[in-house]
Amino acid sequence: MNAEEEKSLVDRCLVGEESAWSELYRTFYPQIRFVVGWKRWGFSKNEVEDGIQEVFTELIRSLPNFRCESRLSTFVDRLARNRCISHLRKKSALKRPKETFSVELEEGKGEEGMSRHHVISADGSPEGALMASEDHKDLARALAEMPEACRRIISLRYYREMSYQEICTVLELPLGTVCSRLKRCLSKLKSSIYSVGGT
Amino acid sequence: MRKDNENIEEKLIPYLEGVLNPKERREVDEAINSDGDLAREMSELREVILELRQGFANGMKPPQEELSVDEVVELGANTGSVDSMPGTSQQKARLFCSDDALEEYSLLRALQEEMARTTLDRENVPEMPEFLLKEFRGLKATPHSRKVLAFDKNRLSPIPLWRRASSLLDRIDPKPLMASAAALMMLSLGVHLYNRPGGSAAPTGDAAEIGYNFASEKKAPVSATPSASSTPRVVAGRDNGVAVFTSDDRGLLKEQAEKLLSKKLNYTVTKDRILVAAKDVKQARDILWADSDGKVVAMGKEDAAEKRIARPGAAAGGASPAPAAEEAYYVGSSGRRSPADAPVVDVDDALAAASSGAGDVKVYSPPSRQDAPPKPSPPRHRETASYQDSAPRSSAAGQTYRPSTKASRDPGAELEQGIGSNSALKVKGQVPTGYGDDGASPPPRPSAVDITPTNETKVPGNAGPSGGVPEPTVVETRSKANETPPPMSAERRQKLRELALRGESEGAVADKADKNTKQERDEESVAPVAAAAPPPLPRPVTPAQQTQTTVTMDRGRVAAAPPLVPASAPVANVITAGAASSADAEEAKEAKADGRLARMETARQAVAQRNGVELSFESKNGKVSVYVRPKKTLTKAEQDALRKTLRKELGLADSDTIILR
Repeated sequence: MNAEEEKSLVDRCLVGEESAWSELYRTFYPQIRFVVGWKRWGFSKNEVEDGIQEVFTELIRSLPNFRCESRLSTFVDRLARNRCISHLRKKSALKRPKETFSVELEEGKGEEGMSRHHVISADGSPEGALMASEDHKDLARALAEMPEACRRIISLRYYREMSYQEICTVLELPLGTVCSRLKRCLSKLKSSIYSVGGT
Repeated sequence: MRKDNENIEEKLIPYLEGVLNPKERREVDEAINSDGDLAREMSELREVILELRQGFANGMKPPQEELSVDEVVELGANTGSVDSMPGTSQQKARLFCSDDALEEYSLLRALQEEMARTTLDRENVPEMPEFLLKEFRGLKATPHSRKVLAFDKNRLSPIPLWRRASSLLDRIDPKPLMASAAALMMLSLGVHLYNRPGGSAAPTGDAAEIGYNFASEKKAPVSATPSASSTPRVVAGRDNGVAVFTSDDRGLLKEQAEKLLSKKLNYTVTKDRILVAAKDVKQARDILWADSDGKVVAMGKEDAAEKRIARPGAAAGGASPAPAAEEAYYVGSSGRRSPADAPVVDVDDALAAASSGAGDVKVYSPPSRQDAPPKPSPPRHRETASYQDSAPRSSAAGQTYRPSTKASRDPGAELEQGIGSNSALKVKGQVPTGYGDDGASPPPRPSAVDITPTNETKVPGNAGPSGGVPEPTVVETRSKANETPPPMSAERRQKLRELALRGESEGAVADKADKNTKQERDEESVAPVAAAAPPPLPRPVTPAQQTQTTVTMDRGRVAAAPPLVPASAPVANVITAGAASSADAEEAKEAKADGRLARMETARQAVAQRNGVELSFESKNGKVSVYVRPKKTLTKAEQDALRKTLRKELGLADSDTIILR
């Protein structure tokens, strides 16, 4: 369906032709189905069905606001992606651990009445991990107190491990500015760490 | 000089990270050698970078940025490299500083790619479900679509004129407009009634013109207060007619009005006065005040609402009828009343009569009223004399008036109640027959003219538990900032980065980089430079070990290493050739340095004593650094001389450095 046909379809829908709505549904169902039902989202079958319905409902409601400045297929695609990302965020928020938690110890299920406790650490000894986390606490606090621009450039360089050229591209800054800003931010971080550690 | 410093400053971090090309590295080396402060700063920066890298490798996360769904979807619509990514640099920076957003972005990019490869199945499309049809019909029922159509320039032509016109009307909701207009009209009417300008003429004298017929303005409006004088004082005021009785007590007004009603007099009751036509003034006064006792009460000048001065009615004015037998009391002037329309006080006569002993003068407190509790009297500008029947608050016939929210009507009488507090309650019309003409109390009537406004005001929003304020709902919310999702592994980060940056025109970058570095490579042999280069900062060993990128600091040009390649690509390092020979040379150099260090340790005490300094040595990568702490402050010339002396006495090589502290 080309742009002209899409525009005509939108007009017919808005004028109130029921057949136009059916055509709209038939035209864009496969696209929406593909986006919402994409396996990497990890949605269940029911979630996919709900998602398709929601996207169509949103399409019906927002079609009067569609100005035909872009392709309708792009608009529909954007709606579907929006819905998927929103649902993904909702799901991940539900999955996140809550503030309170409980620990259940399976007493008496080990050998001869011994408690069964498993300590699994991928990072070596728990003590080591604890020490490391304590060591970096001041650093994390100092980093959080840094100005936004500094935080970003440090994150991009040392957390995201981007090259200088990549940082230049993302921040839209020349290389010299990136390098000198990074140096200033690190100096600031250094003094901040000392002040945090001192207090 | 300043420019040189800036250039050096730009190169410090790349120098520490070992990504400078050999030429620039030498420049920084020289700067460090000549400046002790710079060397110290470098060592501190090195520690910070090390700590940062270790922290991030151990799972520390920088503060995460937030990106809205719309922003992520917009950025995710990018089909090319980061260069062509839509959105602002701020959005891009936030995207790459947020693990979640970057993951979503990566998913969207992957979806985009997969969609481009896939042919959609357009065969198995189910029927449009019923709920969507309902939605559609609901949309059709509303004129929303027509509104949009009518105002869309691109689609104006196919829409008939009537539809556009109707959509225009659809946009206008008449209810608020009508409500506003009605409220405005009522407000203006109330204001008009209350604050009628004194200059506007209003009819007086004719009973038919009293009260409501403001349109026929023949004479200036007049008003008068009850006066003890024979002729009522006529002043300009807001009311039409002559005021024969003034009081803020509505119950009292009502009672007095009933007296006039019983005598078939036309009158108008406003909120604080009774008005009659000029020709009826005398008769009205007779009705209101006539009594055998002949006491007239007036107020003194003091602002004492409770002070009552009674005097004989005869002394108040010869022609005036005797005042009411009942004790009068002053209720107090209304705070809203302006001096212009405040009742005119005519107490002089009364006071004169009282002082001459012609009448009784007494002070009393007004009786308490259940239906209208006394309110504090505001300061008065003029004395006001008012009269009322004696307590209890009942008519002469014993009818008690109770506060009511409804205005009842007598047969034949018309009661109109205005709007709001400014409105006047007016009664006009003929009194029904059957009442006595002798001024006696009228017989009990089936309904009272109730002018007591209701005090039952409902306060909105103060509802009880059944409605109004909803019960607070405890909603468990968690701030994203406080959440501690499991840290993203280094592998994951690297993978995301690759996904995010996929699509960068690697060839173009590589070409550009090659062009920039070609000259450098031609100039210098790589191996000796690599051997002379300072060691890059150690990085924590992670699976996502980053590619070494060599950067030429010639203002924005990138040398070597295409930056946007996946980390799995071969490492593009400057140190590619002659690595083995470089290592050998480095070992030999370190051995020499160790020998020098041993000699210096031996000579340290003597040299230190001789030069009055404290000495410490450090050997690193084949170079010896001598840290000198003079016991006194040295001038620049002395420092230079000391450097030369130490270099000679300690036998330092050219590559060794002396750092004065």
